[in-house]
Amino acid sequence: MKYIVNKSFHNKIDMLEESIDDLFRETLQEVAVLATNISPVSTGAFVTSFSYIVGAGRPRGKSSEGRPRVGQFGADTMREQGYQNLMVDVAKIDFEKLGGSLTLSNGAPHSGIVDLNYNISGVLEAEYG
Amino acid sequence: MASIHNDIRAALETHISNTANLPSIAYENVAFEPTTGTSFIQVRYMPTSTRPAVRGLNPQLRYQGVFYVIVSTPEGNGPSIADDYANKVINAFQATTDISFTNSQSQTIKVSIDYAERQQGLIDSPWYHVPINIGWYIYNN
Repeated sequence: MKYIVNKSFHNKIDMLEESIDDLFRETLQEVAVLATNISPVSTGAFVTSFSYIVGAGRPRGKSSEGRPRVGQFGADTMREQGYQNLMVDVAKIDFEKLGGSLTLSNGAPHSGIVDLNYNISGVLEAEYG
Repeated sequence: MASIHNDIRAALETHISNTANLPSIAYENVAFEPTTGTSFIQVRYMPTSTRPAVRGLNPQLRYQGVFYVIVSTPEGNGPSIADDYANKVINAFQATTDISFTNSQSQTIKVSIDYAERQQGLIDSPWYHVPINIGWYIYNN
């Protein structure tokens, strides 16, 4: 018995794969928006320490020690910077080769205590599982 | 007229306050001075979304969020006391538990528990904290 798979079938599969990649990319973007929006900002060290890590990469990690407080307007700038950091990470992801884990991580030394007080990971889990 | 959030919060807080053998509970925006060496629990109501459950006019809404519980025990005594309290909280809020609450207008709501998960312990002197996330949801008009 012989099956012939024509080119249009392959084209449809390619389109489907692209759609899934776009959906994945949009979800990562939504997670980045929420994570940076609900993060507290004092010096900006925490909110700019988020990373998307593929496999066993090393996360960004900034200490707040010695950094000046940024104030309300500076807080928005820091959140935008944190978001842009994550979008840079997303742009580098090769979705076709992505086989292992993809993790949202925060490598700031004080990330544990910030998360204890603001439960950012819990809110992200509730929204995105 | 009270928001449904008042009733959801009341349902969750009443449920944990009725759970046996837990230490004192620090509620949100209520004065509470922890005594060093004495365990306590903090609770926080964190709604995360209110979305239409179906299409069409006047749809039923799905409310969901997290009831965040932090078990705090004295630092340096090992994890067993905190683990014991955390287990009691998780048992009281097991996934698929439905919590009923009747408000002062005799309206009864039922809050459903989606999950109850603990995270790793963390020392913030003089306390050892164990955070627990309790995911909840409710459908309501």
